[in-house]
Amino acid sequence: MKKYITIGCLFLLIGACQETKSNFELPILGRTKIISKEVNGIITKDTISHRIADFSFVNQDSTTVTNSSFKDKIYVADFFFINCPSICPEMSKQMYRIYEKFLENDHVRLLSHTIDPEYDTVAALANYARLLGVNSEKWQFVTGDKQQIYDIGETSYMVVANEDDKAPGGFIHSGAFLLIDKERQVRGVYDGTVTSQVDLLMRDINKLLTSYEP
Amino acid sequence: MNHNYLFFFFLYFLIVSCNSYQKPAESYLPENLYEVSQTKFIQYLIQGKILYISKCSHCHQHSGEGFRKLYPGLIKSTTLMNDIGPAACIIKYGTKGMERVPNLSISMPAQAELSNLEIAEILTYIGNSWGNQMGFISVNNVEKNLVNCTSH
Ligand code: HEC
Repeated sequence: MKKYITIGCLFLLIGACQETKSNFELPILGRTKIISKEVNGIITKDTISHRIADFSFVNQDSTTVTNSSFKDKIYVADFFFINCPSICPEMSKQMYRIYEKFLENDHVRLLSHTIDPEYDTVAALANYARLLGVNSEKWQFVTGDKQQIYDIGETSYMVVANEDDKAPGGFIHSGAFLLIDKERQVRGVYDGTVTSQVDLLMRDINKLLTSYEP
Repeated sequence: MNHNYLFFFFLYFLIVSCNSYQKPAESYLPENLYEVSQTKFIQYLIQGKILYISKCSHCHQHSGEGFRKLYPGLIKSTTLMNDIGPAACIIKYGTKGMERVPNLSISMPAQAELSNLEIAEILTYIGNSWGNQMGFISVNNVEKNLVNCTSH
């Protein structure tokens, strides 16, 4: 019996090693679309992977933030609001861990969207970032048109955010952290309120960075 | 066999965790203790700790140390130390709309669902942990102070 367990463990170990060695690729999440187009009378099919749609928001410095602000960067996105009584304090704490860990790495950015743009004005976000003590080059807090924020949350980042009088703070929303690559693709979804999930995210960031190395 | 071990481990765990609840009482016995029984004080500490962990610790952190400048620490907090009045009001009604120095902090949400007893338990716990020494805080004391809250 003992022998079997030992052998089983050995296999597991070997298996685990191999996985880290060979499997550098993170999955590309989201539905791929197949579009057919006609070129010179011939119908060809093209697959398009799920990508973050175009957006334009304003950050804590009143600077406009668009997709091109993240050109050649990978970034972690989340959705929060300042007066969130429940999960956001833990999310901020976990995001701050990522901030500290990748502070010196210019390829990594953080993007937090407020889902309460009425209250979370540019000034409020600037205050929040100042209290957190983070630089806006690295970690942007953005506000903007409410519908655009909710839409991009739902359709691009695939998370839920909604107003709900009965929920704590007046909003229901997901505590997900999303890892986005340089091609605007979602490469991972993590629970931003769980330390071990964020540990995994930080390992995946390194993995993704490695995949861009020549 | 295994079950026995588990049972003892559980017992040990219980004893250890009970001990840790009593620690604040051992390290600091309030001067007004003659007014209440020590048992009551310890009951408040235990109940207060349970409430603190579920209602407050995700902002003020497990050991009251706070997080960055977003969530103030409760260790030797001046608001807390000066007078329990403002602290009781803040816990029940939050700080939204209060005349605090602008941009010094974000506001704390109201927790109106907390009963006066629960507030007394929480205050007794945070008031006598991590080096704070405020002594026993009674329900009456909380009740008296909540009448005078200015913003709600
Ligand atoms: C959602 C986060 C959050 C939760 C939950 C929370 N607080 Fe606070 N608390 C704050 C913030 C932010 C402040 C600073 C408010 C201000 O200055 O206007 C604060 C301030 C305080 C203060 C005053 C501290 C000082 O030195 O001025 C006390 C006391 C306090 N909180 C106790 C509690 C207790 C007890 C609980 C649980 C019942 C609790 N808080 C739950 C965020 C929170």
